[in-house]
Amino acid sequence: MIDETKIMQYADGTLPEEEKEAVGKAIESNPELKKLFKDYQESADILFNLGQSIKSQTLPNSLKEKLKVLNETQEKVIKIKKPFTFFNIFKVQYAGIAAALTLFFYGGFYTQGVMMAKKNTGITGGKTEIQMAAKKEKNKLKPVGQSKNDLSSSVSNVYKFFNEEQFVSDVSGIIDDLKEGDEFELSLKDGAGTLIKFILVKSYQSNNGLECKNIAFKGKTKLSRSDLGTNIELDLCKRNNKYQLVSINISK
Amino acid sequence: MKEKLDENFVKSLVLIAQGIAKGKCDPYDLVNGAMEYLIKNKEKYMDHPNLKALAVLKMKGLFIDDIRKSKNFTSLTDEDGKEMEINDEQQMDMVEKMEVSSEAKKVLKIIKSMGEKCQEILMLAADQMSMQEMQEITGVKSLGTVLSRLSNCRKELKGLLTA
Repeated sequence: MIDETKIMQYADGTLPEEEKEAVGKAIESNPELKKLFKDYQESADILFNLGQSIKSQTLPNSLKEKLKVLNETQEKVIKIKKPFTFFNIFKVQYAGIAAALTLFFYGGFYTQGVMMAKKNTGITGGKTEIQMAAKKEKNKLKPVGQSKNDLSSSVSNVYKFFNEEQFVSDVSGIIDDLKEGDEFELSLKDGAGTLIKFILVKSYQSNNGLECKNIAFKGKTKLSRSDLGTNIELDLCKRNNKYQLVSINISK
Repeated sequence: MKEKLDENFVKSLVLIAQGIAKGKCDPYDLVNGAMEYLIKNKEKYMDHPNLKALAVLKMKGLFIDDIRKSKNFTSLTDEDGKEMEINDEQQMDMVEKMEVSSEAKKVLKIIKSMGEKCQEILMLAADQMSMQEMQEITGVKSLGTVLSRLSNCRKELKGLLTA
């Protein structure tokens, strides 16, 4: 006995291929099933036409406006499905840098912020060297809001846990679609486990003509549980059609 | 965001709302309510894999809230715990006001005179939804139940149209 649902699926064209022959033969040989098949075909047409007719109506302005708002939101908040955590991977090679920075700042400068510029040496194997430059504060006697110890630990916190490859890979997929001022998320979490929001601050050309993007962490980021918040900005430039992180700016 | 948020998305909601709204509840109010909900919770749901299903479930919730308010119900089940059927002549007036073909009006009126489950599943079918999508939205446990419900409702619809 052929189930009525099979006849409906046959009429709709959704019956699995392997069942079609048997159902088709049953319909051909049974007038009742043939009538049922025709009824299902007709009801499919009726429902299709009803759907088209209702959908052909003009949407009220109130719904059009809401749709516009939703689409604006979609443009602003772009999320990448593949999550990763800012503080999940320990980068051994950066521990030395952090230690060096600590010594550097103990050496005499009060700083307001620090910028680390990455420079691709072009050596086979993709090794990079990192240049560090601390901005001298005019008034050396007044550290602004952050002690040298705090700053060096901020630097070590960023580099100790920052998964650069993952960040660059994820952001590369969306960065060209963003406009200046757009906010986005990468499922990146700060030290307190809060999702970090980013802002594309500006698109610019570097001195050597590379297409670059300046990205800021929206608001202050907690680099550790004790951190009250740190401003972080990143610069990425496109080299050989691939974005590379060229600098990280940290300030309190 | 998996779903394309264009006018077709909203029009699908309008169509499905026809199968949810009854009595004094205007289908457009349900769609408006669902859209407001999506806007309010945009960051939470913007990458939801099935935004339409989410909106439809919200519309169903809004409909129940609306009925509870208008009828002063605390529950939508009768003493035996069965689902209550809510019928109201006003829903037919709403169909009359729609700017659709007379044939579509006739079909819609007949669908609205049918049971709640048929109304819902037939409007989902009119939106060309797959069985899996219908199962997700109706909350029916098995795909077989969706198939048999749809097949029975379509048979009933055809019978009412030719009667």
